[in-house]
Amino acid sequence: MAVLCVFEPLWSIFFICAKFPSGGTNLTCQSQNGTPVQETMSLTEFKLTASQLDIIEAPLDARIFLDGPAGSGKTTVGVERLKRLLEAGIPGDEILLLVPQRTLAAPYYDVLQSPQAAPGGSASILTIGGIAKRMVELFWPLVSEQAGFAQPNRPPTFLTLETAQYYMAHLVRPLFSQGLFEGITIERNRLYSQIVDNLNKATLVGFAHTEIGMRLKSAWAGDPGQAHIYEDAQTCANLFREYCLEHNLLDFSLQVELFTQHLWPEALCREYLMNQYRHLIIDNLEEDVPVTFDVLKEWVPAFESALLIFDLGAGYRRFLGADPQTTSRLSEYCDTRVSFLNSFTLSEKLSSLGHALSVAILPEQEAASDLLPGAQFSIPYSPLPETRYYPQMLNWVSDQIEALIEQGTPPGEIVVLAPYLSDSLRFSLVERLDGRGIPAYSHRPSRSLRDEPATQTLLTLAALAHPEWGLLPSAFELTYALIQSIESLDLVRARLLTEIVYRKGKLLPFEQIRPEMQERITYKLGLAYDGLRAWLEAYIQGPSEELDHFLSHIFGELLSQAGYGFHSDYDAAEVAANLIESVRKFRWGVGERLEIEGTPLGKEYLEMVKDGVIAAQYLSPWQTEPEDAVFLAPATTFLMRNRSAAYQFWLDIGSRGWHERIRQPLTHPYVLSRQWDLARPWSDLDELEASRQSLHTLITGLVRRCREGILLGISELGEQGYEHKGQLIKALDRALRSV
Amino acid sequence: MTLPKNFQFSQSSLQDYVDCPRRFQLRYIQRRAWPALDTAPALESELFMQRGAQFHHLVHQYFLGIPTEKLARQIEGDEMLEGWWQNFTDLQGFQNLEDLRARPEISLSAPLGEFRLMAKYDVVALTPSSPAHLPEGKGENFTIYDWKTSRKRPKREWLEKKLQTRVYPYLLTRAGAQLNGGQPIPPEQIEMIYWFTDFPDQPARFSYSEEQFTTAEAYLGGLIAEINNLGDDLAPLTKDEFRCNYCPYRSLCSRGNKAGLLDEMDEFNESEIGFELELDFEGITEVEY
Ligand code: SF4
Repeated sequence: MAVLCVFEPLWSIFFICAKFPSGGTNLTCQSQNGTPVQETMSLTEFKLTASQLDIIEAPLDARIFLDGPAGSGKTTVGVERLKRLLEAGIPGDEILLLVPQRTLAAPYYDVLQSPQAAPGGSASILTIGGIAKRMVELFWPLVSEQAGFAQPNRPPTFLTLETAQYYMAHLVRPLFSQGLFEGITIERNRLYSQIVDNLNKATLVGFAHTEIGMRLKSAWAGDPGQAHIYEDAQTCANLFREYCLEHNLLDFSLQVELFTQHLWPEALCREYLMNQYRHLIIDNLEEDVPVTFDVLKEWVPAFESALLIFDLGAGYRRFLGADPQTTSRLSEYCDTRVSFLNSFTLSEKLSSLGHALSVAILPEQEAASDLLPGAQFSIPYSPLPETRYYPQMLNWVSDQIEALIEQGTPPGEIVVLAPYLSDSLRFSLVERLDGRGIPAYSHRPSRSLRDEPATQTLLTLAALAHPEWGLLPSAFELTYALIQSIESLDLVRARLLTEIVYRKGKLLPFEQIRPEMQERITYKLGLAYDGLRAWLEAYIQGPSEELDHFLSHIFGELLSQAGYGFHSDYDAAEVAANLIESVRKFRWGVGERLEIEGTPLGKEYLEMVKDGVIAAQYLSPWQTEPEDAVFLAPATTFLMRNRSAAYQFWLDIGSRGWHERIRQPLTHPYVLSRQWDLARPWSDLDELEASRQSLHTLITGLVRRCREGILLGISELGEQGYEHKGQLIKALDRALRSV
Repeated sequence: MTLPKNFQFSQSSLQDYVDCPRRFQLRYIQRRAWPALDTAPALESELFMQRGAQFHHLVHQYFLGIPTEKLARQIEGDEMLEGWWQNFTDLQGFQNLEDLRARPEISLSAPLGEFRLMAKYDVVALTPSSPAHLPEGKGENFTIYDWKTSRKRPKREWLEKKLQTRVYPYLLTRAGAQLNGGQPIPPEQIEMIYWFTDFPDQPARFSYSEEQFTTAEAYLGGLIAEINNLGDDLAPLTKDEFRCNYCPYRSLCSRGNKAGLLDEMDEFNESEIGFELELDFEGITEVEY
């Protein structure tokens, strides 16, 4: 009942806006002071201010550093400046748009791809990683030898995150028996990914990868007996790097390092970049990494014009190496610095809410806050005890969304945010909204690739078709695969069929089944089953194909044909396409090594899927995101879309996930940064301070990206059935009591 | 049919529509992922595509100024690529990069009707010499080069009909002013050359004219308007069922179940492979930072 106590006194005090729907409870919100609410409008609909126009129309040789809080119209300036450059006849391909993450470039893509844009070359929208990869692809023969690759005259192999982790697993697994990482409990795949992450951080922050262990160890303030894990992490990082150099493998860290250490200083590459790009626009510089600063401090002065946009109070990607303190220093390389102070999106009440929350989280920074106190506000929330349990809270959220839409809010103006969005939460909410006819989409598919039924089916069939791998599917796996593969085959018949026909990895023909059983299964389904069996048998008689080719082959010739399970299941076909893509990249990344070792690639892939090393990621879907649909995402993902929304729902506000870091025993975003003093240990106080800062940044970032109102989904018991009370709910309590 | 917001047409999407409206609908409007094989044997066909992409990449590197010997070393041991590369480096006219103002891998786009039309050129080269049909000294010659790695050399009449032959010079006229000191490039100063890696002495050259430009504008604009005005019904299937052998959607259209064989490709389809060559060098996912 703790949550109820926190809010109960506030039920009737303040209201934030007139548009909130009825909650079906006594929480009906009405505007009490009658203040008109700012209408929903996109940034581009705003009339440009004089200071915006000054930058947009600045001379074509101006180098400007623009900062300001979110919602102050900086991206609008970036977009309009881009239009201005194009209208002034600057060839599009002379313009470089640099962003720390591609999702942040959406407003720029809209301009460049619109039919209104002038004819000409295409501007490049890149990340620093994208530039590095392109340059390595083009100029590899110039630097491969000096960079220490063992086969400089052979082209490199670019690794994906998946294949990098695969190689890491391959190298590290044998070391466990030698006692490495003894004493820590961590899932192996997380261990591999944290070592890969350390290498990335070393490159992006700009220190030698051989210093990772020393840096982590010197900050360790816990049991000295545990400090050896950092030496172990260093050993693995060294091994991995040596292996990459030996085999011409380029993981992300090596791509960026090749670029910054070898190509950027190389005359031909630098000349190419400097001649190609004459005008620069960077947005969300605060989310970028220190090596971006290192490159740009030399590059910015060479551009004819530059506009660097920096969001004050942000830096949400710290866990990926973002370093606003460092990148803000690029202002020194510009001729002019402009600061925007006012927010276009923020209403008086939301500003007031933001201020109260900001002070509740970080009271000592009140003077520095640009959010203004004053207006009365409140935040509607799911009423307890009616929403004591999680599913009830989700029902309330769905009701509220439905009511908002009925009152005229476009679904695309509503976002549902949580610190993490579990698969089950996503599924439950999308299903509820679907039931009400409300379009909703999430930042990723609801299941990882390996958990998709279509993936499991295809891999089971692959195992059946390659008995030489010795990975015979269980009866359960076969039953499951048959249900997915044969249209209209139900569980009962599939199980019966499996019991009768599956013998030691072999499938018997349907005609050999007793007639009464054939009748129970039906001849139509039996015919389809026979088609599948015959196809597999014919395949087994011939030469084996690469796994991705096999999957395409069986998909096209059988599973997608009429009468089979994928024929009218477009989602399954999409999963199949993603799986085939994953296998292909795996083959391109590791195929050569496996061939030398004599290990069948398909077998290795299946085993790695089982171990969770690969296909555990969520691949981006083929479909583009719908234009007008409720968006469900973790809060940070929403912030990285560089968009505001009329309404935000915050779920799980009691969760510690809003402020606590994920436990990562082998890496550390603060210690492995340019800001960390190497002589200091990382204390509990540092941890507390970091979590307060990060909650402050996140929450003020969300409030600034909201135009109408915020609604809280609270349940007394969290998704797992436990009570929880993290810093956010406490801060909300303090904030609401303070007004 | 509703095209996605800010959809950009290209020669290959338009060619898809012309070849089979249903394929265009499945691929670009419904965005149907359908991962069946298009050609068999898959590995042979993949290697063929990869070599083509590697050749394009090598030529791009060459135009950026990477020494030829260094590039040659990267392909040592691959006879087919070495042969193509030798044919390319033997070509007269590309040896002195200083004189040749070549723009490799340039992308241009222009609005056409309610959409944009875009193209990525292998190379656009500026040479002072005039095409034969221009009076001496009248401006620069803008030559569009397109490298083709197909095993058969297609007939000129077939090439002439390809959307690429219409789109590339048209778009260079519409959107290439940046290559001509800010002035639109007159059609007469444009030439398009298909150069075949296996037939180095038999390039296919196409000159261009104002009349061709006007015809292309009407044709391409009409095609785009036609696509935009199609209703929500299923688009018609191609009448040329041979195409379906090399199309991944064949099971959706009840047009067979086996992928066409690489060896059985006729000139038309094999050239098609060369034309649709797009091995994605960005295909290895970029980790964003
Ligand atoms: S299978 Fe044939 S009819 Fe169907 S989309 Fe492909 S080419 Fe068109």
